[in-house]
Amino acid sequence: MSANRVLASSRTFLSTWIERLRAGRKGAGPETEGDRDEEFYYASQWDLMWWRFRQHKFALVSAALLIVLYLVAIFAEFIMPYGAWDRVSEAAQAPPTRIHFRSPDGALRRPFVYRVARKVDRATYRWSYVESEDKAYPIRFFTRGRPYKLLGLISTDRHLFGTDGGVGVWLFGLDLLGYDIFSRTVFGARISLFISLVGVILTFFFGILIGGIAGYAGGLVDWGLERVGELLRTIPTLPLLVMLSGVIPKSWPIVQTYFVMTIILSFVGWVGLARVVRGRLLSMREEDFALAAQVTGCSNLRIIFRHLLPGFMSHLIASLTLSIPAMILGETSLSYLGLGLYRPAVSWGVMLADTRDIQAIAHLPWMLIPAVWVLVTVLLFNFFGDGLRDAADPHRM
Amino acid sequence: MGSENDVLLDVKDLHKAFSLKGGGFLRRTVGYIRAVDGVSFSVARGETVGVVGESGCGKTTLGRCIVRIYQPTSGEIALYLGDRSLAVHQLRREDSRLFRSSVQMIFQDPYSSLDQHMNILSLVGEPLLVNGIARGKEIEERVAEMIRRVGLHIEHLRRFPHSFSGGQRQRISIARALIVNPKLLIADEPVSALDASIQAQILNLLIDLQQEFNLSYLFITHNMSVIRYVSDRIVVMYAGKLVEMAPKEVLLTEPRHPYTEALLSSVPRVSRRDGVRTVTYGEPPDLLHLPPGCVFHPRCRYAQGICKEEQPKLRPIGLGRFVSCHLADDLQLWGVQSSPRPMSLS
Amino acid sequence: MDTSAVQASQQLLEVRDLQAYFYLHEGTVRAVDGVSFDVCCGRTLGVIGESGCGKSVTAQAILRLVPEPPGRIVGGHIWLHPPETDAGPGAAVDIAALDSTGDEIRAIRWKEIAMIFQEPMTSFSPIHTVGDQITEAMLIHLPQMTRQETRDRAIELLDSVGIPKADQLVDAYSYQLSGGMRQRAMIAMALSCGPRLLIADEPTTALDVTIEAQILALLKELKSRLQMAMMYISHDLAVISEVSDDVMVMYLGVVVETASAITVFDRPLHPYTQALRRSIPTLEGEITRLTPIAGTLPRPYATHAGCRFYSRCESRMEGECDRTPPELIEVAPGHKVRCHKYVSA
Repeated sequence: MSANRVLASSRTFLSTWIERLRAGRKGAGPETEGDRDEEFYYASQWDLMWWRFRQHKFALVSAALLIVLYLVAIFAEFIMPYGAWDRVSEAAQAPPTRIHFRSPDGALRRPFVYRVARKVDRATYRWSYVESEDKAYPIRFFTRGRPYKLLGLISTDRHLFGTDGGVGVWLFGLDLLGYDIFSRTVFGARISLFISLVGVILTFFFGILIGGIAGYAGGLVDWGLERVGELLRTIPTLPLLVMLSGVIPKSWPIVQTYFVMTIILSFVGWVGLARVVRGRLLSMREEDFALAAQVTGCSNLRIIFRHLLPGFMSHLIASLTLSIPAMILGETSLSYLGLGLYRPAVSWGVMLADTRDIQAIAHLPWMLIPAVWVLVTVLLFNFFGDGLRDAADPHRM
Repeated sequence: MGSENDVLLDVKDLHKAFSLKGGGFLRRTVGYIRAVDGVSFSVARGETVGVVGESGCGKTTLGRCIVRIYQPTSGEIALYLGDRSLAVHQLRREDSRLFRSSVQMIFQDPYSSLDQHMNILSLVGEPLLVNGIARGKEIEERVAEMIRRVGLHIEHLRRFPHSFSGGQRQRISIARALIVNPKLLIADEPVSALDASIQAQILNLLIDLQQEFNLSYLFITHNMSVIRYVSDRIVVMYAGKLVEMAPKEVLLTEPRHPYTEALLSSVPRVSRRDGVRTVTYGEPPDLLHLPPGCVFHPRCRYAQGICKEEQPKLRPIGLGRFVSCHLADDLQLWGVQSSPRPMSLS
Repeated sequence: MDTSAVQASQQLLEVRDLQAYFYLHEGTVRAVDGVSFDVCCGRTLGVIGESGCGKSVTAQAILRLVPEPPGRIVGGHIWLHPPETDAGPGAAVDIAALDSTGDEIRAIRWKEIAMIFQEPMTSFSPIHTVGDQITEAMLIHLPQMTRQETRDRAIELLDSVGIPKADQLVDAYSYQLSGGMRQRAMIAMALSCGPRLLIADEPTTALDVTIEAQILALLKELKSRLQMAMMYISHDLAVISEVSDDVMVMYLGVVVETASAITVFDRPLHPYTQALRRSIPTLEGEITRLTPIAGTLPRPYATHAGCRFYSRCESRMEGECDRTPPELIEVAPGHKVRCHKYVSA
């Protein structure tokens, strides 16, 4: 696929979406009265939900930004100018590189950077970095750098931006050991964004399955599952994790370890969701349309999946979206405390673990930048989830 | 009433009690609500039996027992189909499909009886799909046909319930119920939630469809005027018991049970404006604590000693008439179209 | 039609050209669009209409209970005439012009005009006793009464509406009462401050028919004993015919016919009233096939160039009925109809 075709199709794609968004600004649905009627009549529940969602500007923007964030995580190697484990020891602890827009004589030019050199203060032995203004290195796009496999398939060595001559462009600075914080932030986004997604999907699956069985079967089955759920809920999370990190063999790759821990956490965490599902099912199965399905001759399974679940699928999705931030924060906190991931794995929590040292933060405040990203991501998910929830059920519940 | 062969549904001594569970860990049963307490009647082919009564009388529970939403506590429900008879109260799995395509139900609330997430085609076509009667293109053809018969249009097939009015939704429910060609339709208050002017449309539709398909209806309602319009025979229920059963005109003009008289007298009528009516005091009893003897005796203006002690049994009292009252033979009760008598309070 | 009785009865409430609209996201609903009627002392006005006709909104507007966004009283007057005193008639108050949250309307609510609703369960607070709620209104409007006096009066009221053991049930909670009892308690609550007008918005629709008969009998008895005016709203023709002296038929926000009860039911003139009568099953008389009113209610946001009933009317005259909206005209003493058929008469 040539670059031009890609550009052209993305342009049409974007313009359709911009058009839809603009239409949404005026209100739900299409323009004329007649059109609106027609569309409304044929609108399924999901269409209606989308129309309502469109009116939440915050949620729309958050959704778009989240898509961008996930794309960044997927194409991490492309966006990172340097590898996640590339050390620049001679420039360790360097502050974020200053990007200049004006040359020394005051004229506007293409953004550029200078090479930095370390200076050691004789008295305090502290390092500082000075720019050598002899040569300007302009920032170029699609530069060549460390080779990698895009999406694990295509071998390439192009990166989004960089300089010729290998002068460092460290947007977020370097950490204690000389790793590029920007690159690691981008790379670490993968863990935060995807493992939380996996955890949530697992919770979703278990919660619906077990809550569904309990809610529809009722009676002894329901009673039994309730008791199991209560038992599971009494297990305290933190000690469980400590125990798990002790029990899982050290020989396992770190990310795999964490993955397993996530699975186990969601296996315990389904209880909350199951209770919601069960409660809703119990009340919904007495409603007329569920009874009608029974009289029609539908099997119990069909009634649950075809009739009852779609009724609150929208809620489920909304509440699950809202629980993703909890998982992100969970991973971040655990890794910060040293209980989750640790070096050489890269995640926002691992990066923030280095900031436990007050001295480090005092001298290298840019090491806290990953925390800002955590904040931003959590906020985006919250806005998005709120918008979804309002769109799913603006009136009841 | 016709020979034995004409009977479609036969209900014998049906009981349905709900147990009331207390709180606590084990949730012991603290009492029973006898929603249906010994009801027997039958429905012939092509006949409409109206079941009338006030809240708590058990008419809805009765209907739901017949369609197997509830399992009866005791008693028999027999369905006669051609050469076969199904024991509905103990339905075998292999008879399930036959049963579901013979007995169907329509509900009171048009807004909650249709699944909001399915379009009309899926809703009305589901009975065909689930009972293995048809599939694919044939479903669509049959649904289109049925939709037209109930007064809607083909364009409506792909629409969702939220775009229809109450009356139209009831039509959709009727289409869904009749698409499997049942013999018996249980109509649980099908017009009570509709506007007055729409009620007539649906009632007429039901009557027309009955003639076209030779259906039998069990028409449950609390509205005496509606019952009069649609039924052939009327069953009156009170606090779970069947108190009187008779052909329509006879029941309305010459009731034999005091409760029937009270019901008829309480109904407001356009033609009567001078406050001439018998007002019955008191309220329907708490089903957990039924009065001893006849359940109606605390409110009955004619109650005697025996009524407080002994429960009356349902007995025949004329051609096709049954009543459950100790004093039925002696009482002279006032029905509709009798000359009015001055206002009196019991 | 007893015209002398009407003329002798003093006007209590005079509504002229009332308009109440709801401004919604999807459009504007003209719920009440030019409604005029009178309620006279000691008489009952029955209001018939189906869903969407605006009868409930009219009642709510009289007490300024219409939620202000999205609703609004856009025009018209609601004149409440004060009682005749020896000093002569006092000045009438235009309720429509009052501030809906102000003191003046609060002085009118419950003291001059009271209301009972369809669903008694939701009209009572679940955490206060019935007695507390009855006395609350009295304490606000009749400050000269002591607490004990209000409690005694509450018991008296409960007894007068037929609640047995009133002295015990005064301390009961609403969920402990049955449907009929709750409705009686609500009537007692409405009467507590001695209003001159009682508005009843479908009070018996949710009740069993035997209980409905009891409540209707109670209302009739109270009306004659207390010489109270009543505005009874219902969709049930039979109930209205039993309860009312005068009847007003509403359709889609306007009054289409108004006359005494006897006239409306014996000689209805408006096609809607006639069609309504023909479409309702009766308990007496010949069983003929019901004639339903054709078509369905138009969408609430629709605007009408001509008569609102045009799309469903059997006697419609094309060219006239769909172009100009008819006016409400008095075709006989006390009998007004809004229909082009009777314009020349």
